[in-house]
Amino acid sequence: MLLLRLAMRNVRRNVHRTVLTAGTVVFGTALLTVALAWLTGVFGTLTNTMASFGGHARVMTTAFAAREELMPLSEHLQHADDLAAAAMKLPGVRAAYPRIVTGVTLTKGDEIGDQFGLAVGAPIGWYTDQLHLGKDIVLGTMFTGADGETVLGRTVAEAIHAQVGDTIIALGMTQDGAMAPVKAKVVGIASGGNQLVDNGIFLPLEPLRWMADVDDGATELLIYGDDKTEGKTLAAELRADPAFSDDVVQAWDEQPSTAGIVAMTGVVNSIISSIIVFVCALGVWNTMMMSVMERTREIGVMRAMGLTRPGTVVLFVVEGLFIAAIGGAVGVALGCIPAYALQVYGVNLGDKMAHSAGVPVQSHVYALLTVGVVVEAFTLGLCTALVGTAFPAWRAASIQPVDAMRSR
Amino acid sequence: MVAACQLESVRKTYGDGAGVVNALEGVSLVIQPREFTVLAGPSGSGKTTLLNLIGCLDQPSAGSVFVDGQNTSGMSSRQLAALRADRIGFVFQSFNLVPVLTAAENVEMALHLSGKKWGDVRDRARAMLASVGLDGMHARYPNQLSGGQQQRVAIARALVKEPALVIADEPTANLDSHTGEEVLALVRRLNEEKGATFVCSTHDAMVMSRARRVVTLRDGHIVSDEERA
Repeated sequence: MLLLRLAMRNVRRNVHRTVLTAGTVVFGTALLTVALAWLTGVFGTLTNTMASFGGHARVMTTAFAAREELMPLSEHLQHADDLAAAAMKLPGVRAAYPRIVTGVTLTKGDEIGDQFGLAVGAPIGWYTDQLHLGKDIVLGTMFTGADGETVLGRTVAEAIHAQVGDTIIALGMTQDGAMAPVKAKVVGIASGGNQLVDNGIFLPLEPLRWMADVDDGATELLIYGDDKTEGKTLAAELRADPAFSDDVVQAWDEQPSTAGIVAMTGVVNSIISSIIVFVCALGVWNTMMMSVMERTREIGVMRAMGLTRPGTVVLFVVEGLFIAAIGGAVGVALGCIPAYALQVYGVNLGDKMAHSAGVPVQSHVYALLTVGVVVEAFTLGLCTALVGTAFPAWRAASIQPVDAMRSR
Repeated sequence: MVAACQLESVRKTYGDGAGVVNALEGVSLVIQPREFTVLAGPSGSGKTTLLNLIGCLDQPSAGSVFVDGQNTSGMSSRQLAALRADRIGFVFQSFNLVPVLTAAENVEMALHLSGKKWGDVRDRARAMLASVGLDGMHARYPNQLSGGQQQRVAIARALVKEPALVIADEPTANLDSHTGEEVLALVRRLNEEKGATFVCSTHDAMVMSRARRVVTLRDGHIVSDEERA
């Protein structure tokens, strides 16, 4: 207890140095709060979009999975409606949707189209409950339930100069490779601020089933739980069910297109946090080293009196942690101000940047300030002190007591 | 009776090759419990080196050093630290109190570091301060005390854990003559009342005149060892 008391008192010993050290931690923790909130917001939105679009878990045939980039219709899931019904019986499954995604060329009116796009065919419920397409409609309406309707993404609509009320023809292929057209009336144009929506050609499931000639089949079955974090659990349940024993089941973050982004999220997060912690730790190292050098004789005397090396390290680490705790609390509080502003107002990256990102990033991105962000920033602030104090503490512990006897 | 400290043919050298310095050469010395021994000699004679060896702050190049019956040769730094914490008290020329701790806390620290259970540490520290004439000053910080008072705190700190040996490195050198005499009188009184064994290094003739035993060193050798009445 006396060592703790001594460490606390040493904090007040040189107020300027303590303020300098705490200031470094304040700066670092505030920066971490903003950076972590920003990354949580951007990557959170990105992964939410991907999980919404691709399902918390997804089922497809083994052959389809092996050549997924070619989207082979012939390798579709047969009796997809029965599989969806079987999935709905599993605990934790809240919704299951058969879906077909296939390449088409688009034509407006009688002109021969040269605009290629990906046509998505899914039950209306998927559009409303999972993709939340209704909120992205900028012109016209969502599907009304009438036959022959389509909703186009804004980019696609602009490319073929389609407007609400126009009739378009999506020319695709059957599973056997024969040409097959689907005619539909544009009821709405959607802009979600990301390429998944803006480049989409959205149709109900049945017209695409007719086009692909797959009866009650689908290229994939999308499974949803309460939250995307349940993806792996849902996937495990599906794999254990005999109805899916011949198929490939992937959680949303196991899918090749998303796994890389999830991994990148962790890497970017770690790199940014590490850089901030390291740079700020240098500041702490500098001031703590000054403290050790000033107190060499005192440390030597205490070592002569029996203070052990670990005890010496504890003395300085506790001192550093105490400063970091105060600096971290202030830094998090200060960092929350710009982080909250970014959460409310966000930053508009522009459609061009969003569409060229290669991933479905939103054009208007927002930070997300959560308790987890605050705790992580504060913890990393403490790490700053630990890293910055480690060498000075080791240096202090290396002081030989005989030096104290020699000093005058 | 086990000697408080015993040195057998101790040699201490610094450096190597052509630059080697023989700080002590074949020194043998026995200091019995309750003795008040002064190490005298000119600068460079080896007093501080000898004090460091007796205080287990350093280890000899050759020979053996026994403290309270324990051979310190070959002890690890951790074992030496434990021995110093438990059996040896230090009084330094420039007091070396921890400035952010009060007088009582400076004394308490010696008890905490000793690794023993002492019951009520606070009461024991205050009683020790009272015995060195600092009753009522336990809450003062070192910068609120005179040089003589600080040295009394240092003496209390050294004695509070009842060590086998107290090492004092020129304890009166930073004090005026009057205060130095007071501190020396205190050391002598504690030597007699508490039976503490003191080994002091000094240049001060007044300290030598009060000692029962004066060991004089020159060029790393003991040149005289006088018992006084």
